[in-house]
Amino acid sequence: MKLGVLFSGGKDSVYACHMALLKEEVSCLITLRSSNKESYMFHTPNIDLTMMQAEAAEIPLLRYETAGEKEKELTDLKAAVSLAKDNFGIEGIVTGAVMSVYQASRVQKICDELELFCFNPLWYVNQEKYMNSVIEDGFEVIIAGVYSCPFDEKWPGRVIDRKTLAELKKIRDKYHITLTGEGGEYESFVCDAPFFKRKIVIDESSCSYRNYNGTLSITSAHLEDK
Amino acid sequence: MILITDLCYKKGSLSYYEYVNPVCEIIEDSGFEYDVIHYSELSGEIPEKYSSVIFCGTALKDNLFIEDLSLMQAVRRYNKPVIGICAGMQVVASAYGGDVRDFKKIGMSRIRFSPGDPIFSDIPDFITRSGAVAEDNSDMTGNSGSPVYEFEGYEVHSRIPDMPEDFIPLAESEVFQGACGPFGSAISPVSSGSERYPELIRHRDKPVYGILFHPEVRNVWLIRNFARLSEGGEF
Repeated sequence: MKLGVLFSGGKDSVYACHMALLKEEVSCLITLRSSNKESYMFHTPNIDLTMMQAEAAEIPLLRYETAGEKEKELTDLKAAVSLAKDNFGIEGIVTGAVMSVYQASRVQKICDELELFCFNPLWYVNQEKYMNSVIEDGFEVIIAGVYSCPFDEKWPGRVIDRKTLAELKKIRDKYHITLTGEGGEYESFVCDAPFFKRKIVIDESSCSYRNYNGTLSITSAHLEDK
Repeated sequence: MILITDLCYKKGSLSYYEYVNPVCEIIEDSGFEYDVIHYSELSGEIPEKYSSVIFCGTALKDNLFIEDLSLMQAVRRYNKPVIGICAGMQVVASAYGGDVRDFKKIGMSRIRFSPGDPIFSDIPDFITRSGAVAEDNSDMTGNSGSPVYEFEGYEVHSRIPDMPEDFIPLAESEVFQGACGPFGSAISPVSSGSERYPELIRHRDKPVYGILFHPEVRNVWLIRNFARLSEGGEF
């Protein structure tokens, strides 16, 4: 089955793509580039770098612009998915939804209207097992933004490794955040994945941080052989 | 040991993670053992070694399972507890003679029930009483005067089974006539003039259940209750 993956460049969409590649054919990645930082559906730091990730994976990327206004952005998502269906002949969509009924049900409706399968392979996954898999399966993921207490300015840019995961677990236990950042507590960016032919190396970045809100902006990066 | 049956379009499909794995996690967390078998491997019979069977859901476009008549025969012959979730509810109802019709719903629904059945034996704190009491009628187990509880359930289905003759509704939702989805798609009623549809049904005499919504999303208590009852409890 030919599939399109809704691709933000964060760990969930990249891991969902990895799972899809193990079972079916991924024909394209689909990125919605939202100009609204408060978007419910699409905003992610460093969204422009999905182009480099697609190049690293050698999978075509369909990029679609959206103003990111609530509900209108769903019309834009439908248009993007429809375009992917026409251009790549996809029969289904894959998302990295973990627990968000808001996101999952809206994508389900769009897929239904376009007569496409909808796959959410991380749906209600055991979050601890999943985070361990991200590390064990060879993903290189960094924290690209933090948006809740108690994350300080040292968190943006950190690699999610065993030590980071152990700290995240402690924070989860104390502050009741989700381990995966499902509640928007943090965002991530994937530099390398098992299906990437080359890996992304960050050359320059800057970080803005204030009151438990910090975003790592990657300003320069290049692809390197693995 | 509980048997979890995968109804997805093929064994080891990409849908497995979404519809089967969350149920496995709940059973494992509840401390019970389980096996997973794809429905195509049942060969018309549910092995006797299992204490009960859970039939999981499938993707909205995935309806292949309904063509397997030997699956329905196996369910009909099986005399131990069964619960079918979404697509699994179609299997349970079809096995007992219920037809399947088009009825689409994607999203959260307000679900009402009266706790007369053992499946409601352990109601979590987040579920609230609606303030109403069950009316004196033959459905909702006929428990006149019982409190009515409400909770939110996640539905993703394009079809719904008619309730077979020997079944009763244990929980239901309302169809809002003329309601539209976000893209203007009308929500069709179960049947002309009907304002409610069953979310949870049970055979009158056997512990055989069908659930339209997905309890693995936000309502794991129902699956835990079923597992506990089938592993030593009493229905």
